[in-house]
Amino acid sequence: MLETRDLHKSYSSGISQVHALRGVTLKILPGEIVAITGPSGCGKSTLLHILGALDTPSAGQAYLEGHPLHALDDAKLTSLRRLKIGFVFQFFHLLPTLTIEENVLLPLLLSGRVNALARKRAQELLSSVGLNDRSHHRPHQLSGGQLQRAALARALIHQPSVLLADEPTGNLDSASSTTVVELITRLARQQKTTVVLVTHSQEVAASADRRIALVDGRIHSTS
Amino acid sequence: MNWLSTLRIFLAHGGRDSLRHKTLSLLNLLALSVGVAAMVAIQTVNGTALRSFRASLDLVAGRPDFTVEGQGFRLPETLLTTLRQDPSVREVTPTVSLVASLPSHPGEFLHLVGVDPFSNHELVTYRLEDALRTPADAIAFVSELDTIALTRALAERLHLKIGDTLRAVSGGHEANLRVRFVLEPSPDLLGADDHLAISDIATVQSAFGLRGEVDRIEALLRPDASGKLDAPRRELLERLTPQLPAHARAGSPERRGREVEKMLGAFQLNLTALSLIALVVGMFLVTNTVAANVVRRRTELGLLRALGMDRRAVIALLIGESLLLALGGSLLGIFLGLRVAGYLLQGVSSTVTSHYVLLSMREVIIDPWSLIGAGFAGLLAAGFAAWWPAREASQVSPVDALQPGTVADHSASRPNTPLLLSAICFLSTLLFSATALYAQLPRTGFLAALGILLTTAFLAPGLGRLFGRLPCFSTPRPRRSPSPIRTFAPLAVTAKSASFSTANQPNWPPANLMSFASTTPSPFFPKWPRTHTNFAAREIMPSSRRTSRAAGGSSRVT
Repeated sequence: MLETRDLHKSYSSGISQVHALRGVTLKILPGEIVAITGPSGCGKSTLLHILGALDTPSAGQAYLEGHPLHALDDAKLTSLRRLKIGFVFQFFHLLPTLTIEENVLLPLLLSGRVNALARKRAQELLSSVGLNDRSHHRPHQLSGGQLQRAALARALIHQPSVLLADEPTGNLDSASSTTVVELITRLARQQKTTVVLVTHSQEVAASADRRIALVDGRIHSTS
Repeated sequence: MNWLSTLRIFLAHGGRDSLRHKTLSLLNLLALSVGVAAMVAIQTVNGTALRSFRASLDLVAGRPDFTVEGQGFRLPETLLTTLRQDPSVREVTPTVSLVASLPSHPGEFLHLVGVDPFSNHELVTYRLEDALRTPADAIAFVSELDTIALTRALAERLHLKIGDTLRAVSGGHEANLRVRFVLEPSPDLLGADDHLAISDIATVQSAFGLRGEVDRIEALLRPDASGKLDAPRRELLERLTPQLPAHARAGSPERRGREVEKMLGAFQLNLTALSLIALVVGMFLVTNTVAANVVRRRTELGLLRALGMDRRAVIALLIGESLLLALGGSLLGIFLGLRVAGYLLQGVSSTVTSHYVLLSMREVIIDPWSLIGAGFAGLLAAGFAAWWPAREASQVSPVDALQPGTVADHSASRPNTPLLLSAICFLSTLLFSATALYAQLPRTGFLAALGILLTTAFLAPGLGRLFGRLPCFSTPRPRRSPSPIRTFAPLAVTAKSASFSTANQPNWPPANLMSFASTTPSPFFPKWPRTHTNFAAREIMPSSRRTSRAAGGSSRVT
């Protein structure tokens, strides 16, 4: 379960302060798919970064399965990211030196859990996202949609409890977007993974169980 | 995260990245190889010089228990009788030695040593008995006044055969010497001067006007009841001292060796320091290369951090990559260093001969431990040089790294740190220089030299910023960004050529290093990784998109 209580985040930009989040309180249940929407600069990515243990709040509390993200040091946050969180980024971020299969295995490689079983699971996931014939290709040989599907396989390989996707379709054409969103929802439901999607797209948001709209760092509406 | 995982990622990713960026990797490899080559070359030449000197000393002086030397002046032959009559002396032999030029072989000379073959057989390290195979040979050696024995190497080099005559000139006297025998030095005297020529002492004395005079007298002593020689040597010295001329010195034969080695030691320390400077410059290049790597691979490193790679693993990954290249660089450096040592040999030989002691080196003597040491020094330097940028990389926030087009201006909060460090290094340089000059601690001069290097290095970012504000430098030129690699190359070349070119200078290097420092193009000095980040930010982003990063905060809000 993900939970935030009166979450604040501010940055200094020169002499002025930028308040990205202004008291966000929410609760996301296990297995739930939630879309966070809102205009640029409303703080949705910042919220996602805090939920993903990539950033820490200026004030307030954030919990991931009971772990207080606001109070953990870098090593513990890193460990949580490695074991419990899967990320899908707008710009895919696959390592160019590795094959698609190696990229998918990366989270397991980081936690020292690569074995024959893991490779079999990687193949199954690549098959699920329609890339079983591309497992030995390098990222530069794949299209944007294929790269994002590979990134999705990577995000799910270690069976995280939470999948965080930051504008997963922001860099894709509409056909690829539909495929990727369908895959995210289908695979997440299969694995019973909690999903938090940050998106500008109403079509993507529509696929979620719940939509949270942020405006100026505050929750504007929930539907 | 365990180390095995880091190793697997390194093997899967780090090595391939080095292969993908061949130019950068090659530059890194070459930087270290030049540093290691300088070390190997200078250490090898130093080692060769020292071994040659020791071997030559043994070859000429033999291995006596007690020596009386004239120290540049002759000794009266009557001392020989005094020593022979002393109860502690078992064997005694006189030697007269001189350097004679060979007019028919320009550039060559003889280190002519006159010995008494009947009394010195227990002392010498060359095998004259091989030459004197028959009684007729022995009789010829002492009875024929023009007979000499040459080393095989010199005889072959001068194309001399037994029976050939050699004209030698020394101290205004000229003599025609006949090659009668060939000397075979002991195998353990590898590197000894092959200019040695042996003759009967009477031959040398009569041919070169030295009748009644000797240069040194060597003796073997009778050990005391405990089998030691210290007490007999001390007692003999006490008895002999009143009879010695003022300029003479008597005692343990190692003493002179130690004195000369001490003299050579300063010269060799000088060379070693210069070779280390070459390695330090190599380290700067590695630092720059790794820092450029960090900037280039910022997103990758951010991704690895986001996926759960901890900071120590990021450091290990980058240092591991650097060490992998350093391994190649060290091996290449060892190979190059041995080649360069061959070229330096003659220069160092001439310098040592001009300033310290007659020394002739013809072949490089390779010390495997010295090569292993240089290889490890290269690896250590690479690891140390990569540590700082690797640490910087480990501090990169994954949020910042994964935001496209965002480069945080980390250095904005501490722009004066390099200037402060530069000032501290400069003050230290002054202190070390003063200590060297006034407290007579010459070795602190080396620290002063290092101080000059670091002062300039730390000054460079500030100067870079200053030059960057000049109108001629301020126009953005994205297609020719001042990459740290490109900007540092002139410095490395300058510094390393300075190291090599000063390798033959006998005097301690403040003057050399000052000249090196003055020729260093300061604005092109390396920048610390934070400044690379700055540079990258200025080059790729409009100023409106750059924001200072507050503690714990990301630079963009989306």
